Formats: sequence, structure tokens, C-alpha cells
Amino acid sequence: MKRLSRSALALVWVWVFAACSSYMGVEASDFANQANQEGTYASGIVVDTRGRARSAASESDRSPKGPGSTDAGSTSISKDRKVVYKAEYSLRTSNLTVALARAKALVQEMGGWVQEEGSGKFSFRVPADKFWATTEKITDIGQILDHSIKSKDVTEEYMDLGIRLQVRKKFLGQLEELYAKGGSLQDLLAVKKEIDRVTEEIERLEGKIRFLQEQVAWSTIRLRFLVQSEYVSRDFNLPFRWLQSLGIQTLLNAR
Amino acid sequence: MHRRARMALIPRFLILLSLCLATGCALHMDAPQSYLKLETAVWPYEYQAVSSDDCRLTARKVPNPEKGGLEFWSKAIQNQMIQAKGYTLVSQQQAETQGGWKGQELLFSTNSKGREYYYLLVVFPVGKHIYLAEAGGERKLLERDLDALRKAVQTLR
Repeated sequence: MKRLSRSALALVWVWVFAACSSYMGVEASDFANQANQEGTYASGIVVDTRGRARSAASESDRSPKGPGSTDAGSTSISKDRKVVYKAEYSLRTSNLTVALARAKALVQEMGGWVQEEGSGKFSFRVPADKFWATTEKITDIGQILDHSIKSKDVTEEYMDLGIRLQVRKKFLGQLEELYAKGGSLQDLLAVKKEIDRVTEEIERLEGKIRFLQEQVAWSTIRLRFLVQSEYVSRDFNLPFRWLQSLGIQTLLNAR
Repeated sequence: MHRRARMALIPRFLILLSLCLATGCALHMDAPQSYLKLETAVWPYEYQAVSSDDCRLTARKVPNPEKGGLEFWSKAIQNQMIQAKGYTLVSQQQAETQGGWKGQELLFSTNSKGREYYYLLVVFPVGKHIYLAEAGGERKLLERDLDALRKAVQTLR
């Protein structure tokens, strides 16, 4: 019995070692392919012109796609770039109510949803493939005083999570097979404990992937309003000079 | 007519011309009893009278080569006083002089250093000129004199 227990534990550790080796191997080869085909990934790219931002990812790259490798049993890894887009605008408007109504109409037109509204701020999400079309229509809401567009390439993080998820799922399957074979109570408890830990890890990875998918699929646009009427640097001034001499001041000062 | 007789008419003509310049061509009003007409008006005014408590009554003539009408000048003056100078229009009514000039009376108020002032302006566009009668002073004092000032403006000529 003791011998069986020892051999079961040894088997568990062999599986763990094998799984880690497998994960490292896939990751290393995949990154090598990426480096060859697309060059080094950059994350946290600040883009302030449309042309440069477009160079970071094509329209098709921005379409929401889950990691192809996350399906159980699949080993292929998507090489599509995953880019998170965020834009911020400072807008001047003379009428906040009208500006907000226009902003909401734009959100509706683009199939987005309002994330936050209040205190002169308005943030919303739009489908990633509508991001650029939306930014072009911001001028309809108010006069742009300042703006910034940021893109973050999360492809590496996304693929890393996908690979780790694959490996964990594979390992979980092996643990479950081992558990099904049976053995001593101690061995089964050890295997069950490991199954629970790996399951928890898988859930955490899936959560991270879902979050990234959501960030990539829905771009964020934040608007900050400055309510100010247009300043006209011109006084009322009819072209008749004598009009300027009208008034109590001239009258009482005439001595 | 002999040459001598024609020469004799010249001094008479000069006397008539100077009388016209001295009386008929200068602006004139019959000042209220409590006001004193000044002998020499200070530019831009051609007529100036003052009360013992420093209310003023003046008249002047400004060019109107475009022959703008009463409605135009009435609105232009209101816009100038309200938009450019921050006055408040208290009242307005039609006015007419004894000589038949038709005009518009505008009464404005304004505040300065905690005191409220009234400014009465009566505008008469006549041909290529605009005749302006103006009166002003502290609100209480001008309110007291308002009727007398209106009567004085009717005598503008």
C-alpha cells in the first residue's frame, strides 16, 4: 500500500514536470514564430495621429476574436493582433444638454453603450470596428480642445494566457484520469487537491482572457466637457461716433 | 438801382446775417425756471443749462447724412445705451416740439458708486441732422424736474 502511494505521488510529479515542459516548449516555439513573422510586439503605444494608430493594427485585427487556442483539444494559436483602443477628448460646448444628447445619439448609432455620465464627463464603449468611425464624429458633439488616442497591444499577454490555459486543461484531464484509476485514500486526496488547484487556476485564466476579449472587442471613448459660450472679442459698436458720447458721464462732466 | 443805393444795402445785410447767426441758427430751449442757461455751451453741446443741484439740460445737433429715420435712431440709441453702456430703459414715448419736429423720448437709468442716475434723451431726426435734447442727474432730482424738462424740450428750436 505504501509502495503504491509513493508510486502515485511520483506519477503526479512526473505529470506536473511533463506539463510544464510541454507549456514552455509551445510558448518558446510560438514566440519564435511571432518574432519571425511580425517582429517584436509593443505594448502601451501612445498614438496621437490616425495614421500611426492604424499602422498598429488593421481593421480586421480589431475585430473581436477569442484566442483560437483556448478551445479544449486545439493546439493552434491565433496570430491575430489584439489591440485595446482608448480615446479621450476635451470638448467645449455652450450647451451641455445638447452635447450630451448628441453624444448619446452617437453611442446609439455606433451600437455602443454608455459607461459613465455625470459631472461634465461622459464615457462610452463602442465595438472596436466602429472606433475610428466614432472618433471622426466627435466634432459633431462639440469643439475639440484636446484629445489623445492610446492603443495597447495585448497580443502577447493574450496568447500567453491562452497557452497557459491549454496546458492547465490538459494537465487537469490527466489528473482526472489518474483520479479515476483510483488508489489509496491518501493518493486520491492528493490528486483531488491538485485537481482543485488546477481548476481554480483555469477559472482565473479564463476570467483574464474574457476581460482581455472584452477590452479588445469594445473600445473606450471618454469625453470631458467644458461648458463655455463662444467668446466674442467685440463690443457693441455702431459706426456713429457721436453715439459713444451719449450718457450721463459726458453730460455731467461738461463744464 | 444806382450803385450808391446798392452799397448802402450791404451794411443792413451784414447786420441781418449776424442776427441770424446769433439767434436763429443756434439751438435754443426755454429752460425750466429752476435752471440757468449757460452763456457758452461746452462741446459737444450747443445749448447747456444747469439746476442749482447740478442736474443738466443740453441740446446738440449731429449730422445725419444718410437721413436715418426716427425708428432707426431710436433703436440704435437704445442698443448703444443698453448693450454698450449697460443702461436700463425706464420708459419711452413719442415727443414733438412746438415747431413740429417729431421725435422719441427715452428715459434710462444707471448706477454709479451706489447712486442711481436718470438720463433723459429725446431724439429728433430732421433732414440731414439729428437734434438731441439730453437731461440727466440723480434719480430723485431728475424725477422732480421731469415734467419741467419735457416742457423745455418741446421748445427746442
